[in-house]
Amino acid sequence: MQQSRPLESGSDSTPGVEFAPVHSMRILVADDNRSDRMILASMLRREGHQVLAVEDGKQAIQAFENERPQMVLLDALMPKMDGFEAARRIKALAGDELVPIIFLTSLQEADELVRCLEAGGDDFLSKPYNKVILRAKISAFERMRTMHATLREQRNLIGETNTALVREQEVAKEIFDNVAHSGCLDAPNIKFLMSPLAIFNGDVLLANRSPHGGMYVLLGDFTGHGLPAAMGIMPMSEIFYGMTAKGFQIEDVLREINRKLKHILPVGFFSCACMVDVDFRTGMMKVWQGGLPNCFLYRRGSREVELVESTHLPLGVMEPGKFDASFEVYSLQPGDRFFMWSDGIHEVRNAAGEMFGEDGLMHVFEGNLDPTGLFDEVIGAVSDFLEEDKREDDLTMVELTMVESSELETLVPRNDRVGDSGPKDWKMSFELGPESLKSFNPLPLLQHLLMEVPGLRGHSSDLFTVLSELYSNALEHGVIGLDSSLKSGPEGFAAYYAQREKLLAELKEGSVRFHFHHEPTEFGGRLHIEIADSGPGFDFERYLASEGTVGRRDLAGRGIPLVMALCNRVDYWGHGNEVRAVYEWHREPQP
Amino acid sequence: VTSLIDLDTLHELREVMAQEFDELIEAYLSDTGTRIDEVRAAAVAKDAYQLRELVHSLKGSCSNIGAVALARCCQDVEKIAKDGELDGVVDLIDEIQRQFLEVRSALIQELGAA
Repeated sequence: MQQSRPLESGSDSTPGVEFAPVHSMRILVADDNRSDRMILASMLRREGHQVLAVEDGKQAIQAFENERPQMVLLDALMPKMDGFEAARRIKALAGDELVPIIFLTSLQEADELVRCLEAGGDDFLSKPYNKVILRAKISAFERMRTMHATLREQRNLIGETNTALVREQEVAKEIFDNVAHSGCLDAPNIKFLMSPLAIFNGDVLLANRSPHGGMYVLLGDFTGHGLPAAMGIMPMSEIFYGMTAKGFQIEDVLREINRKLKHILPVGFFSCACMVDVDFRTGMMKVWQGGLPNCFLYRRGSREVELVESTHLPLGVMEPGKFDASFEVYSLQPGDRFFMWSDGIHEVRNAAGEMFGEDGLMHVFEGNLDPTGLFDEVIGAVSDFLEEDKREDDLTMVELTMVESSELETLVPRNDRVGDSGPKDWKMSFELGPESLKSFNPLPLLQHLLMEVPGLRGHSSDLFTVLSELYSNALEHGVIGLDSSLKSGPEGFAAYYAQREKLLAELKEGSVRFHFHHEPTEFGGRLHIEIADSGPGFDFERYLASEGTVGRRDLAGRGIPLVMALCNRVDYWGHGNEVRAVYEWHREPQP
Repeated sequence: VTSLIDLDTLHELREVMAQEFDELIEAYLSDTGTRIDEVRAAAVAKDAYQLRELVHSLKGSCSNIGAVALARCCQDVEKIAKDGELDGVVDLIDEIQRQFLEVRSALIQELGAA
C-alpha cells in the first residue's frame, strides 16, 4: 500500500480516491496459464496484496489448507482438478468463514456461469483483465468479508451471552421454584396445566393445605411476560405459603398479598388472581375473584356450569386501606369441579385469527359425557384450535374437585422442632375485647404458641380444628348471637357471612377469653382449653340430651360433635357460654 | 479492421509488470507456441471437447496480452468446437498460426524497444 503508483494516462481524478484503500490480504490465484497468472499476480501485488500463485486445482486446495488465504481467484478450466471442484472443497474447508471465490473466465454460456455459482463462486472476472474492475471487486469483497467476520463475531458473542444468560436463569429458576414451589398441587383432587412461553413467566399456581385439613388454591396472572412478570411471584408465594400454613383466613392472606404487591410493583403492574379456600368437611368453598376470566363451577348433579365472575380489582391495585377482601361462599357436593384459568387460554387464536374464548370452553363442557375427562378435553380443544406455533401467552389452568376429606392424604406436619426442649408445663390466659374481635383473628397466634410444645406439632391439624370450632362458636354464636341455622344451603352461607360481617362491624361490647393449661404426661401431654364468651350461652343440657333429635339439629353448624370426637372431654359450664375441653396427646414414635 | 495488438493494453501491462515485463512476453510466446500445437492436434484428432478447452484458454491469454485479432480467431474456433462441426477448422488453425507469427514479431520488436 505504501508503494507509489504513477498517474494513469487519461485519468483526471486523484488516484486512491475512487476506492477506499484495501487492507492487505492473502489472495490465492490458481490458473494453468502462465502469462495470465503472472499478469493477475502482478496486478494484485501492486494493490498491496500478498499473492499465492498456483497452476491447478489440486495445488489450490493444498495452498488453501497451508496458507489460509482470505480470497481465492480460480480459473474454471484447469488440469488435474478443475475450478468447480476446487471451489466446492475450499468452501467446505472455510466453514463459516467467508472466503470469497472469484472465477477467472471468459465463459459466455449461461449454464457455465450457473455451474460456477453452484460450486460456490461469488463473482466472475473476465479476460482481458482490467485493473480498475479487479480493484473494485476485491475491495467490495474485502468489505463484505469484514462485515461477515464482524457479524460472525457478534453472533458468537450473542450466542455465548445468551447461553450464559440461560444458565443464569436456570439457576435463578431453581431458587425461584424453591420459593414458589408447587405446594400440594400433586393432591389427587387437583389437575393443572402450566405451559409457560419462557423459563420465567407471569402465571403462578399455588396450593396448600390449611392446618385444619382444608385446601387453599391461588391462580395468579401478573401483567406482562417473562422475568419482570415473574418477579412479583416470589413475595406472593412467600406470603401464601407462610400464612396458609399457619391457618390464616383467605381474607387475611389476600389483604397481605395485595399490600405487598401494591408496595413493590410499579404503577400499572398487578396480578389478576382467584383464590379459593375449600373446607372438605363442610363442603364449603370461599372464593375471591379479582380480574381473572370467569371461573367455571361444574355441578356434578345438574351437569351445569355456574360462572364465578370477577368481583374485585386485581391484587396490587388498591391501597391497603381500600382493599376489599370479601369473598363469595359456595356449597359444594363431592364430584363438583371448580376451574380457574388465565386469559392465555381464552386468547388462543386459530388460523382465521378468532379467539378460543369462553364460548370455546363452554362448548367443551356442553359436549362432555364424563366429567373426569373435562380437564383433558379442554386441553385437547385448545391445542386443536391453536394455530401452530402461534401461541402469544402463557397457558395456565387448574381443576379442583370437591372430595370427601377421607380421600385426601392426611397432613404430614413438618417436624422442624428437634429434641425435647420447649414449654411443657404452662398456663396462659388471653382475652380479646370488642375492638380486637372485630378485626383480629387470634387462631394463628395461638396455634403458633401451641406448636412450641415439643411433640405437639404432630397434632396441629386436630388442634387447629378444635380451636377454630370453639372460637367461632364463642364469637359468632356467643358474642354476636348469629343463628347457626342460617347456614343451611349455599345462599344460607352467603347470608350468614354477610350478617357476620355486619354484626362484627357494629360490635360495641363483648369479649372472648382463652385459658390454656398444658401438662406433660408420660407419653405426651394434656392440654386443657377453656373458652368463655360474653354471650348469653345456650341450652347445652338439652343439646347433650337430645342425641340426634330436634335440639341437636337446631345447633347444626356448631361443629360440637366433631370437637367431641377429637377431644377426650368437652364440658359446658355457666349458661353454656363457657366450654372446657381436654385434649390428651401421645408423642408419635420417632422415625 | 481489428488491430494486431492493442497498444494501450500492452503499455498498461508494461506498467503493471515493470521489470517482469520481458519475462511475461517470453512466457506468453513460448506457451502460446506449444498451445497452438496442442490445438492443432486436438483438431486433427477431431476431439471437439479438448479443442474447445484448449482454444478457450488460448483466447484468454491472447486477450490479456492485447493480441486482439488473434483472440478473435480463437473465439471463432471455440464456437465451431462447441457446435461440434469440425470440418474446415484446420484452415482456421492455420490462420491462428499465421496471426501468431505476426504477433510474435511485433512483441519481439516491443521487447527490443524497451
